Amino acid sequence: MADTRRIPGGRRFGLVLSAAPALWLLAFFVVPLGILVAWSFQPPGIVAALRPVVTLEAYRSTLSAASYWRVLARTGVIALTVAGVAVVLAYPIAYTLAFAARRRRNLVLTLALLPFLTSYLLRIYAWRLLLGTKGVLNVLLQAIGLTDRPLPFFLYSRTAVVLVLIYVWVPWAALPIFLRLEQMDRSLIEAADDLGATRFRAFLRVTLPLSMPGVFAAFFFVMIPTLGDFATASAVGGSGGQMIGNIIQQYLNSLSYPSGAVLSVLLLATALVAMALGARLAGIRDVGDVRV
Amino acid sequence: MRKLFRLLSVVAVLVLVGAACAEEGGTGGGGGEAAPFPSSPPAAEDPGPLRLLEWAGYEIPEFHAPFSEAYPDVKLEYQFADAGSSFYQKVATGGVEVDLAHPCSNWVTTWYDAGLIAPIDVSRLSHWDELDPKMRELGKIGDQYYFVPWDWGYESLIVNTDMVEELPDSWADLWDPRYKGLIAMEDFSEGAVAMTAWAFDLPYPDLSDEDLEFIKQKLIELKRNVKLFWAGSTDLVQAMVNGDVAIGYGWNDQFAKVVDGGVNAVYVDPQDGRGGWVCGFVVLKDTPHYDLALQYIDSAISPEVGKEAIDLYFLGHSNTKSVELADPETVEMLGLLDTDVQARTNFAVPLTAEQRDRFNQVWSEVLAA
Repeated sequence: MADTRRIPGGRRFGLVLSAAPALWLLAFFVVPLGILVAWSFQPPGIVAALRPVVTLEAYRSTLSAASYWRVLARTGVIALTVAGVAVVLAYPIAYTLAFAARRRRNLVLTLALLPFLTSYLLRIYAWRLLLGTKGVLNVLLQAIGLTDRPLPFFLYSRTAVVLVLIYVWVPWAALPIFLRLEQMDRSLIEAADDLGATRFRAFLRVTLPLSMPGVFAAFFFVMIPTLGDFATASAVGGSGGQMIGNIIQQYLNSLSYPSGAVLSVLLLATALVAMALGARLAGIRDVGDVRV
Repeated sequence: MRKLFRLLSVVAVLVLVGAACAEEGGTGGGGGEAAPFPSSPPAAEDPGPLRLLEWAGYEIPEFHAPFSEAYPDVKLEYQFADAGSSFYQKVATGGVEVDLAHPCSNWVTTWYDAGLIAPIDVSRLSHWDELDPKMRELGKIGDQYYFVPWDWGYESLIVNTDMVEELPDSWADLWDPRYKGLIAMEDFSEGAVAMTAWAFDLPYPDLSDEDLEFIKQKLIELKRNVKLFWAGSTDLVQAMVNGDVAIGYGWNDQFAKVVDGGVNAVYVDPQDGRGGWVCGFVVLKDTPHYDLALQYIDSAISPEVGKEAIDLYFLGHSNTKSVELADPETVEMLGLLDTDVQARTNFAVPLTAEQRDRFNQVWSEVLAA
């Protein structure tokens, strides 16, 4: 399908086209990232500006604290859970969009993306109204007589963080899977049908394997940003649901830049390793293999 | 990926080289001798403008009415910051250039050590003698004052009496297993370290490594009782009004709002004293409008402006005469007249950059644990 065949003059035209975004990325992504890495080699402390010193002291003092490794592990578990569940929930949406919605698919797609008309932060805060002690969920549980007093553990917990992040990501996760299903050659399913496969078997043996690159793309699409999330955890995470992003934020807010930079580099390395592992698992050797 | 790393390391090196070239000559402060007051034209001959770094919302005309009356032609130009750290960061990096800034007492030493601020000629402040003496001393370095207190408030425990039967009456009570999952703490390293030091009788802020290790363990232990860390003022008010937590470490204006939200609550007066925050004005060393800046401060610390701070924003005001002009009900609610409580209050002392960084390390590990 999406072949990378050359087109006449494509190389030069590509260079011209990419000059502006490349400059943009250099100025607002690569250089800031370089500044971040430079900060991580500064002596730990509160300083307003970079100094011409290079030391591993911040790495030594920060990485020797066991609690940071624990919070990184906790963050990893949260990100994997969120990505896993989001993909499972997103698949049926993508399937419906690709095969079942027919003429209503514009409507279904619009409905799926409707929450994004509201700001991310507002939607997180709205969850407080649902999960709180006097929240909708507790009121409902008491009204139908399942509990006789409000349950305190919905809000301000690790569960709340996972729940909200899944909610936020499901529509996004559906998109790469949908695109993949959409591009699928439907005659393959007809062939399976002709050869006597049940619908479920055809799904399992034909549709699902063919959509796996989309599933992997969706998984990482959710997992990587979740690793660095801090807004959700700070709004609904409570004392037990802090993620590494919150620790980085605490350091940066209080001007202990070197320690915050070290944890940022650690998070970056974790995300890169996760991506490399994922690419290997999914058998992706070239971006063209992903074909979302 | 390897390419990205190579590119990043090149950029990192370039940044450091850049920093080396831009390195400025030494920091100020240090010496024991009295620093001179910056020279400037007298306020009456200074056309301004006066540039201020303020908290958002503090630019309202009520907070500088006497100044505007006396100097109607001087324009006030505001920049804003939203945390003690960002006030310092903005000025220290040269991001903003102002004549006056409004940080809090706990940051004064850091500003001074960085050579950013000028001593204040208090003889030019007509209201100086009316200010609370304890708050005045917070900004004294050597024989000179570098900070004029303006607004202040308490930090203590707001307790929902419908949810908690036995009230805590010292900071150490917070560790009582009875309060499991009931407490909201502020996400604020200095506050948490200070509170733990008072609870266990440690000499805040001059804490040894062993003291800090002990405080860290204690705070990690406390997490069993802590349900959430609040960052924005309304987060705590909301969590208390919704009944998500029963005990909140918070300010007296938050207490007033919690009561206003219909909660039966008390504001605890711990044996070891409440905490207290004090914010106020510093004058930047390089200001060409020194005298004008002092006139602005003198207007801000007048009882007339203090009345507005209390009535409009539920703040305490450093001028002891302000409470006489303010709405008695608000004064009562905020506990501003309780001189006995005030005398035992642990107002936030200035920290050095090194102390603050050590406290940040402790708090980050507590959050992560």
